[in-house]
Amino acid sequence: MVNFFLVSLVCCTVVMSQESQQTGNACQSPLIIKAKKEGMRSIKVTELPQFVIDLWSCRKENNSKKLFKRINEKTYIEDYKMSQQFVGFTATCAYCSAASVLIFYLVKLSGN
Amino acid sequence: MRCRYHLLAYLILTSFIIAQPKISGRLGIGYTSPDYKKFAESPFPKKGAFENMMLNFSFTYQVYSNVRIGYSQWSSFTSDKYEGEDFKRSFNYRAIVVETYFFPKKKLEVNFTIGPLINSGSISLTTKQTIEAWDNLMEEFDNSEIDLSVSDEMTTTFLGITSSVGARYYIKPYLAVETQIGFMENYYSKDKWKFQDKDIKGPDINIEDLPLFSFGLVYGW
Repeated sequence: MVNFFLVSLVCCTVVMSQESQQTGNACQSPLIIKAKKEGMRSIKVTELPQFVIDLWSCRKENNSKKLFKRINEKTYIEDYKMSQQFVGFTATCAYCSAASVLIFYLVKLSGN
Repeated sequence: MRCRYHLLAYLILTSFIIAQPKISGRLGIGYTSPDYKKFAESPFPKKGAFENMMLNFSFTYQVYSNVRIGYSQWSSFTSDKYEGEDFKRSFNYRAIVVETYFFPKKKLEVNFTIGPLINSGSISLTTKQTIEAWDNLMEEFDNSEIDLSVSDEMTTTFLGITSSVGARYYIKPYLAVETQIGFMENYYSKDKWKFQDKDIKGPDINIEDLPLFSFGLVYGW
């Protein structure tokens, strides 16, 4: 068991050191570049752990705060563009919901 | 012709993939105004504003650029003493929700939620009593009289619908604060309670049309 743990630890260390040698600057990882270009939502849920690790490694690099701010801004803009207005059946659902809430409170306020 | 169908199916399927699935969870607190009538009066003391507070959590999954579907639960809970024994009352309002939304401004989302409710209610009482057979057995082993705790509950299930309109402000792309105003329409009947698999009458409470105001934190991806 101890041997297995030690071998795993050595393997992980080797793999991780190779990765850091390949990327050099942690802020230039493919996922961070993708998030910078397309916003955070472009990162799939399965890619999320790696993205969080990349962000964690990046935080001590120069201009990391500026980079995070840029990713956040890009995400807000992409979200806004994506859902700026209702599409298709979504408007119907919204009308149903808004109308039912309005009618409920009008009935309540009228005392019936 | 078959090729066209394939192309259409491909477009429908990939549109969901491109729609960037987003998972989010919400933890909130809400205010409503149930009327417990006789149920809340003596011997159950009123808890004031706290009795009208409910805790809420929900999980949603973004299936389209403007739509999330998910599960939402509101819980109302009271714990007290009844004739010196532990008394608990809880109502859980569970909803399968469809939430549509749009962004009128950057960072600001307006959402509309609608869905059916499958609710449950329970009243439990834990009483301490002595049972002769147990007493005799304990005495066989030179023990003194021991009080046994016996707990049982009466339960009910009822349906309803919920709808709300809300606004969500994103503090970070993954963290937001949200406020909602809405209602719950419940089809509660005091004749549909069960106790040990027997149909019984329950408390006369008015939770048929409940206004709902809530505030919560949303964490999502």
